[in-house]
Amino acid sequence: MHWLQPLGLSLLMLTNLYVIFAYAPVERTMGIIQKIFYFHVASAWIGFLAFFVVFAASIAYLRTRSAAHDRLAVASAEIGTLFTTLVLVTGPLWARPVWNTWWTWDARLTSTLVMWFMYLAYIILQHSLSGRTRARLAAVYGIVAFSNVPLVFFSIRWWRSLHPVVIATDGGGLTPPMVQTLLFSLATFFVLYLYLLQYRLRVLTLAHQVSHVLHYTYGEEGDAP
Amino acid sequence: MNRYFGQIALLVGKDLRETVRRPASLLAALVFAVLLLFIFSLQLQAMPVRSQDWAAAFFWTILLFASFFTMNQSFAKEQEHDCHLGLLLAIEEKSVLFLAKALSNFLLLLVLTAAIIPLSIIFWDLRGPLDVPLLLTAMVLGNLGLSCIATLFAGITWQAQEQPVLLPILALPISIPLLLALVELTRAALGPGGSWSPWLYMIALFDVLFLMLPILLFDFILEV
Repeated sequence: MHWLQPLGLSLLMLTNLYVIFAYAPVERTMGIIQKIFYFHVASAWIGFLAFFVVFAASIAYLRTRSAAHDRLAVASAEIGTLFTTLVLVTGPLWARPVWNTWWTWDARLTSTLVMWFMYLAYIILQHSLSGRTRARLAAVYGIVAFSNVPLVFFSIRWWRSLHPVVIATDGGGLTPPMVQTLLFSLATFFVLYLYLLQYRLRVLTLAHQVSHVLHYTYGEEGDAP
Repeated sequence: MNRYFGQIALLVGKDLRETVRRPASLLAALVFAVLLLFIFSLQLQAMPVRSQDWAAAFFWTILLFASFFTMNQSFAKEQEHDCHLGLLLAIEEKSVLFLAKALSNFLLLLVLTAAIIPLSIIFWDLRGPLDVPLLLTAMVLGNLGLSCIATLFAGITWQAQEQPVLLPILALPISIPLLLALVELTRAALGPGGSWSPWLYMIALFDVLFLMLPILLFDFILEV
């Protein structure tokens, strides 16, 4: 029944599109462009959640040395980077017509970019090491990177507040249907995250098993997690 | 406790003696820093901006890049004749090795800094009212933070394949809060600046975090 999950997910994503474009009202000043907000904010929150999972799984790996925790960290970092990339793409698309600029050095934008760089480094580190060393050192970086996020956020916030602020942060003013749409979109993206996570975990587990088989048959060093 | 600090002092002494006898990598970092300084000055002298405005930013960027040159080697060089295995057997706790390397890297950074400051004052024509105590505070706390991050990640990258490029890739995003704070603090020291006390707190917080985290995590980094 492998097709059930993708089918369910597709139905949910289509419903999400319907809710965003038909149920949620069109914003008065920004117009249709504001719809990107529901994708943007949902991706941002899920991306951050994914990085928190990397942090927790890294601590769990160093305590227990279980390969499952290592695989969880690897998979969640990749998906978190994907969602953060979506945030960084949808943000400028929205900002260009609304703020009249692609990019501004606001605290949230800049810390998201810095976070993206950190997890890109994490993935590069994963690929330049192998075996148990890889799992151990990547876990250390996963912990260090997430501990640094509050410092990044507050330093950029102070830095901006001492300089002239070109553009004020976007205000609230969401109507109840807009909030409901955002929550629905958030739930959809969470389900998407869980789906991608278990898919990636399955692939990593299979790769691990294959490397075991290779190891016992040919005596080759396997380096899948 | 005495033995702990005794071992740190012994290792720092060893690293410094080694640098004095074989100064090639420190000299290379120094030449690289001077080249960067020259290239930035050359391009910026034609632009209509006051040197006080950008001097701090370029100063720390130059130091950051040059520091990777020397620190890349801080653990990798111990691989010669499997020296790292002997070191790991000899020390009481693995954090000894981190603190010793961080301290000797810190001293090397101070040498680099002392060499670049006069050159940048000459090249960039900095003649504002210098706040010397503030400048010294920025140099000491800033270099301490830089050496802690670079030592932590050098401990990770010497075990990896793309070792030379990996250190800046790992360390640069992490060092952004420190870099922003250092630039603001140094800018305040170079001329009549705004409020700098939050930046001093930020640097102190960063230094404490990146002294404590590696002490906690170094056992996992140097597992044999």
